[in-house]
Amino acid sequence: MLDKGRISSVQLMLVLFMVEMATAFLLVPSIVAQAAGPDSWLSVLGVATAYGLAVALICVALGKRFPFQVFTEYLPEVLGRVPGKLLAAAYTVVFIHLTSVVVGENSIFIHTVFLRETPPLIINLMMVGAAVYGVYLGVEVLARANEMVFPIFILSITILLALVAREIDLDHLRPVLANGPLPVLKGAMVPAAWRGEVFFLLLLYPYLNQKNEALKSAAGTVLMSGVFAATVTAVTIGVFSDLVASRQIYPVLNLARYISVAGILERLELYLIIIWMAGVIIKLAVFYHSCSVMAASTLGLKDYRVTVFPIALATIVISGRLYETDYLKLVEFLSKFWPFYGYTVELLIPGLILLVAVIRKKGGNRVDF
Amino acid sequence: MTFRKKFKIKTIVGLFLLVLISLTMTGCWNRREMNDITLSTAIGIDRVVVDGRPIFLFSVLAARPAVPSGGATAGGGGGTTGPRVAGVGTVISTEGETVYDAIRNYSMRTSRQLFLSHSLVIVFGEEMAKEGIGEVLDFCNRQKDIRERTWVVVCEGLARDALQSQPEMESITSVELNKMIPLNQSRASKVAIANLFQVTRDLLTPGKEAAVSNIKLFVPPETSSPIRPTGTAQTPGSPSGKGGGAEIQAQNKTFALSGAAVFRGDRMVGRMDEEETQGMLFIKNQADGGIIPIAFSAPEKNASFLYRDVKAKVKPVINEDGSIMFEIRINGKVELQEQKNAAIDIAEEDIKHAEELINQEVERRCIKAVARSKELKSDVFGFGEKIYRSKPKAWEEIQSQWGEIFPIVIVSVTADFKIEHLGLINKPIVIQ
Repeated sequence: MLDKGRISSVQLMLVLFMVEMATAFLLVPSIVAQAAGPDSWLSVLGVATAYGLAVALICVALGKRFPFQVFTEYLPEVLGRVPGKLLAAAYTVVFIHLTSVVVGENSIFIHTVFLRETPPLIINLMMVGAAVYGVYLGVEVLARANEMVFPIFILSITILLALVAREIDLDHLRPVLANGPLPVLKGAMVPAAWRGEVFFLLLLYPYLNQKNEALKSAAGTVLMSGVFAATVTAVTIGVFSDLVASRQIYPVLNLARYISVAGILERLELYLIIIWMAGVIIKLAVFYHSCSVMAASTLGLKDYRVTVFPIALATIVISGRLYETDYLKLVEFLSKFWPFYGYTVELLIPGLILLVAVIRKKGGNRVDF
Repeated sequence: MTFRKKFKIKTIVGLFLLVLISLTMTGCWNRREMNDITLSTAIGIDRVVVDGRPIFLFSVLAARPAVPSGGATAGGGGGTTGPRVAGVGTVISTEGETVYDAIRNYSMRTSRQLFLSHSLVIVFGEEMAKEGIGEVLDFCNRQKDIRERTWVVVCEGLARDALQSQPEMESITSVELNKMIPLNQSRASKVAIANLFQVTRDLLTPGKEAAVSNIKLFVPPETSSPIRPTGTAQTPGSPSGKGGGAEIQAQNKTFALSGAAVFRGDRMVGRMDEEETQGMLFIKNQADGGIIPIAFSAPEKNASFLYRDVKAKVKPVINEDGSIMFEIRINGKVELQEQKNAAIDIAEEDIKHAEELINQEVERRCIKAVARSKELKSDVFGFGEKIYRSKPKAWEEIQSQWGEIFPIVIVSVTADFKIEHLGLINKPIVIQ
């Protein structure tokens, strides 16, 4: 275990919530609405949550077998040294890529709606700088910092939704299940991949101080984000209708712009940008932490902090080359590749590893929930 | 050792962050100072033909920067707020092949960068509206400055002239319009009301068409009005003004809201008068308050009622033979506001009779609105959407032919208004 930090089960729950929601609340509604129309909230609430619970179960089962190691540390043990190390290296690369996607999501959002002329590189440097500083301080500090950000995040978005709630036209949420369950399943693909980010549990489990509450935190986080994301989606569609919302890139931003209370409380989109940045810094920090721990454990290093800086630079370069100025590429990735990519990384491979571990009788405890 | 190493890393990171923060705190990268921008308060978009080629004419009603005190200005108020003279706006219009082309051409005409974020109203000229506003709506939704709450209105004639018309109460036309449109909804409900988002949604939704406020320009009939050409305080006609000569210029006109401009698809196909618009607002649940005059046992209207808390329910019914019917129920409360020569006694049967007359009047207005929209073949009520929302299967079958079906649907309107209040006198004033 490379990080000596300890986090409580509540902190774990909040961190995992933030890992998913920090970007999902803004990016998902539009993508879901394109496929599921007025039923989008069902996709987000039902199908995606079911998938998230499956991921949580597998991750907790794996965690219970190897309670004091992160995913990449026990891979060689389960699969044998060479394949294990190879898969660990592959996972590190995957994580670096995922992190660059988040970096790209952030700079594109800020760049398109807010700072039109600031070079995205500067935005990236600031955000990544803050996140990397958190990583240097360790997982414990991240969890505590998140305890501060989380209530602000939840409260601000709830208030934004409440302020725009009187514009909701319930007609926009009808008809329910007009085309059967297929669009709902289709719409759930992208949010499910997001909900599956609860698989960061694989890398945070060792730091948990009450291991028996892992499943509770993981399931709690999945359910909580299910309800939260469904509320955001339902309000978005209720106000804008799925036809308009699916055409907007950031419908929640438009929602914040649409607020008008007594002609005074208007133009609140800046709050949304503050919320977004606070959330993304936490999300990025957790991603960087996991990346660097994975890289360090794969390479057999003593201190994970050595790898943070190169990884941070790598993500900035990758996101700059791939996504920074090309919104279409990012959308293509998020809506076409990310679901399958996500399912493989989050559910399929950990599931197979669990299977192998059970068959080869690796790891300590039995799988018991 | 480890302590020193840790300390070193911390120092380096700290110094790095310090430098980064101090670099980024110095100011905004893309700052736009107040004296570098034009605050657009309303935009007008016209389609005109120049040299046989159709182009966009983009007009901006900009808040004119305050002249520092000490300048020889008419008001001479000075101070920080600047002089308050009639019309603090300047209209500047530019031409372009597309809307954004025209917007950027603004920089060839003025020294300041255009800042659209404070636009309160988008005015479409008549030709523009008739030719189709789809392209402009795409632009407005696509770019980040124009807000979803911006009112959309259609004017008679050129939008540029509408922007040049004079406000009568506020300092600038756009502010006056911005206040008038929602005010009308609660005071008279005789003007369609739609903002940018609503128009976009109505155009996107199958089985629903857009109807927006309509404005007209006129020379104020009141001789004391400073706007009239015969008045004393004249603003010199700008070189970009339309026509000139004997024609009364836009600067000598004021504007009024008037009914609704009705669209089919993204093209304006006609207008509704005030009564029809009110009927439409009743059905669309947008009539928040207004007056219904009735003729109570008299040849002409002799009593008026104020309505409020109006709720309309539209229920689509598809009969077995395939004919489509809409049952509309409108409930509301009314207050007696005035009556002539004690026509209505406060006895129960008179109240009943009055309620009946009110219901008839409301029904008449709604039917008139329906008839007009059928005539224009434009489903401004969203009847088609109602079918889609409640009977998606049936809608799928008729969606492609809705344009032909809508004019032959049967609409029945039942109004049920209750008199709840009689004002401050309970016995009528009987003239002896």
